[in-house]
Amino acid sequence: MNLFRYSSPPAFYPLAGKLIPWFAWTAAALLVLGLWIGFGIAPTDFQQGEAYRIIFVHVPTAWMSMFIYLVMAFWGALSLGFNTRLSAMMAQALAPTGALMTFIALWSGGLWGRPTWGTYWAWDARMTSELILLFLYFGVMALRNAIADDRRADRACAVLALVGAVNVPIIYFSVKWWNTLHQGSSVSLTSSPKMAAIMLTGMLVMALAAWSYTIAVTLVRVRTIILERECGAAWVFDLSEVRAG
Amino acid sequence: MSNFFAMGGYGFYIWMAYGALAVIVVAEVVALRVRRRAAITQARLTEPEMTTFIRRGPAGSAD
Repeated sequence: MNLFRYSSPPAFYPLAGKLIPWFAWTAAALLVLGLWIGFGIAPTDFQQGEAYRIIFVHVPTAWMSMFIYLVMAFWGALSLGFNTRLSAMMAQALAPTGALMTFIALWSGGLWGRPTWGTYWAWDARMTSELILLFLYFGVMALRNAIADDRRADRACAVLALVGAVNVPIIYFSVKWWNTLHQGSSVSLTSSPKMAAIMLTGMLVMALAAWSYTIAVTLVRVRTIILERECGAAWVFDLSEVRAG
Repeated sequence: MSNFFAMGGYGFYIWMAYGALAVIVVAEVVALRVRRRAAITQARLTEPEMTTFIRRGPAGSAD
């Protein structure tokens, strides 16, 4: 089977359609499981009381906000390098969900900071760089809307996404490089986690839910973008959902 | 039950965080559905023509 076949919108569109329900139901199941662990099983924290339960929404969305940006930059790079339409559409489809994840991470972070640090917001390196990430997502989306020609917009957005990618390691390492009000990481790839196993489990389940959710909505959005941009092509006109009604 | 929603005095912070998550997830799914419907309608109204297959000139040029 030649996987590159699926870089063509007519081949990818039905494949994405088949994958969406799987990711959507996986996301729903993991969300229920994660909330059940987070609120039903995980005990009260001895220092923070119940306030720490914001972790189950804050950390997964913060991880996704950075990861989605890198994936968006990756597809942007592919579209620049190989001039593939679908790669650019994937990058376009990821931006709104990335912005929403960034917003939830900032919002939940403020609501967690208030009871634990005494403030919703501080201009420390972690929070400021995450706010810049939100503006980068807005910038990519605004740039696309400002350019009428899709292919030119693809290239401009890819360049902006790639340049902005430098911000992601800055966010990730900000708590190491500078003194921040934000705590250092409790979970990293290089050391054992510094938190209770059940809390970690709940957080990881919620992170997997965020992954599945992101994949599901991105596939729905990329299919919609394909319809919008390939509108007028014979294969689109022949789709059963377009024919019906 | 009210004990659960009070969250040891942190209810406001916790439910504002989870509430925003719920609102945003629902809003994104609804907005996507609306956008997809609009795209399908547009595709239905756009009959493929032979001109579709003729390469367009650079942006701004008279077609």
